[in-house]
Amino acid sequence: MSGLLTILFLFLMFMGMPVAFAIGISAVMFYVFGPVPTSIAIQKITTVTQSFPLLAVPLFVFAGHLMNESGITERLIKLSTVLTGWMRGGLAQVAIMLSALMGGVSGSAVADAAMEARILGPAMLKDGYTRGYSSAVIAVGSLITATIPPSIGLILYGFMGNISIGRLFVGGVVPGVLMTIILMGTAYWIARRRGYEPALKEFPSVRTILSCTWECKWALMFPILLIVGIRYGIFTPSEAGAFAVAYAVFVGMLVYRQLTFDKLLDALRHSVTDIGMIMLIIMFSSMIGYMITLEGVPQSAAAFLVQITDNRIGLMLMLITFIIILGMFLESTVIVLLLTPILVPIITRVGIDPVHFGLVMMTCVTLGGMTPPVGVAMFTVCGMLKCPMDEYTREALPLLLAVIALVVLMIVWPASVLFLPNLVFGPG
Amino acid sequence: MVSNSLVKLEERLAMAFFAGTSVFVLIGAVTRTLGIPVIWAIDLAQLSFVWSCMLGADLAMKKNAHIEIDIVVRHFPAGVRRMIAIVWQFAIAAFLAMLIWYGSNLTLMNVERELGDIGISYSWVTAAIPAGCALMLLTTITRLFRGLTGREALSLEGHDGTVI
Repeated sequence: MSGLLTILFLFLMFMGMPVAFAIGISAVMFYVFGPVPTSIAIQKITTVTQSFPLLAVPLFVFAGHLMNESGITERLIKLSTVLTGWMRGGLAQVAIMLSALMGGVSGSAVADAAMEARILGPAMLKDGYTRGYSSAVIAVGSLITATIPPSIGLILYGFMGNISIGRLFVGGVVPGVLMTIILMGTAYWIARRRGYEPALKEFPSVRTILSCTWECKWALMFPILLIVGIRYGIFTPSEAGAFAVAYAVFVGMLVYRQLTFDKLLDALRHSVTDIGMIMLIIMFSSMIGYMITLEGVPQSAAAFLVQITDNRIGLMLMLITFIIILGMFLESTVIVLLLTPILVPIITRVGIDPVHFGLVMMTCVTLGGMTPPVGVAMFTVCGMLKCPMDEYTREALPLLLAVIALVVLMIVWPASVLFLPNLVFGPG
Repeated sequence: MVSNSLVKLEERLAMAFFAGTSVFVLIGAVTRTLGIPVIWAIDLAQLSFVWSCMLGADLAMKKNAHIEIDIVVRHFPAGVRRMIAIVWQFAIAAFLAMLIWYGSNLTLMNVERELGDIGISYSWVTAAIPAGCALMLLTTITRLFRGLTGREALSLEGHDGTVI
């Protein structure tokens, strides 16, 4: 039955029905025509909203909206400029560094891309960067924000796959830093070939760097507090979300005094719609879990995949290629919510670490937002900078290839992801 | 759409519920760390959360914020897109009506059951599902009515999610 319902779901979704309802309507058919009474379906929907770990998702969404209004962003832009503005291709480097620094307070690539397109985009165009290149650097760079903890994508993966969110967060640190280095290297190479100038005439004084860093202490401290707090059990990931909200309100209202009550309400208003959108998908997909367990979908899928190759790296490369292709056409949120419950049992069966797989998978899923023809980060940035898609595609190619090279490195060298979580939490 | 002030009220309620969720989770966390755990905080957090989800889902529907994929349908002629959109609205309305029916039954069944230790009925939680679905059904019917009478353009346009 699950095969038939998958076809129904794909049909409804690609025929333009809202994805949440495409999932809901096809999933409920299992209860209407299958062996399980329909009243169970509604119990599934209710139960999932009462899961305490799930609260991490909405709380970090809200915290992200608040952090953006708290005055942290302006200070991070100043810090990125003094840290990287003196390099070749200055503003591109600033954009990438800013994504990395924002990564520590925000968990959403699209939010970061929108912010940078609004603030840095016009400055880059004025400095002679092409539209395509400016859009590409901002959009692809925002992938770093979604990798460095906190990360909403990793929270969703952890929740759907029942994987420790603390481990996933710590696992994102090294890939996030490597991604920053690789993208900055690519930007440097492009800047040399095209003669893009540094944004700052000379290397800033040590004193300037230190004072800008000090100004940003609240933002820089946050990811460390977050990980320490989760590691020592001071708070669970959901409580960490509430802590992040309180932290953003505290810094925004009392320290920087930039978060007014009206802005707080605005952040709340945006969050409520975001949460309604994402929760409706989560609630309706909760009906699927029962079906795939009952029909043993992960077992048969795992058996099928192992027939093709039982090499772990080969299997992972295969799944990741599939996810990258899927990501070109499908929304990131939809991919995580639908594939995680199916893929996690498969990969654990063949002995792949779910934290390792999660980081690789989420990098590729989020990258799907930056690859044409369908990608939300790409649409957002290109819309704001009025950049045609073909120009974006051409200029994004070297950056996308750099990220894919990093993904391959992450796959063949699991320690790059797992070393830090194992060090912090002990071997898993 | 439904009168503007009602939508505003719905939005304020959703915001209040979600603010409540944040505050209750925080209270729960702080008191647990201090060693004097307040258990009702978690129950109230989850109660207000389910309501903010359902109201938020309806608000997202009113603002066209639910993810839709138009990679295929954007190549269809406008007339066909309108036709499909109408069929989908009917399907969604039927699905929501079904959820209201089963959700109300579940709510009635849970009147006796208590939510955690706070002494209120668990049906306050389950009632959020049929209530939210009823609001979405209202939104869907209104849109369908306005679309069929030509007061609003019904089509498939594609909407992106912006959370991750």
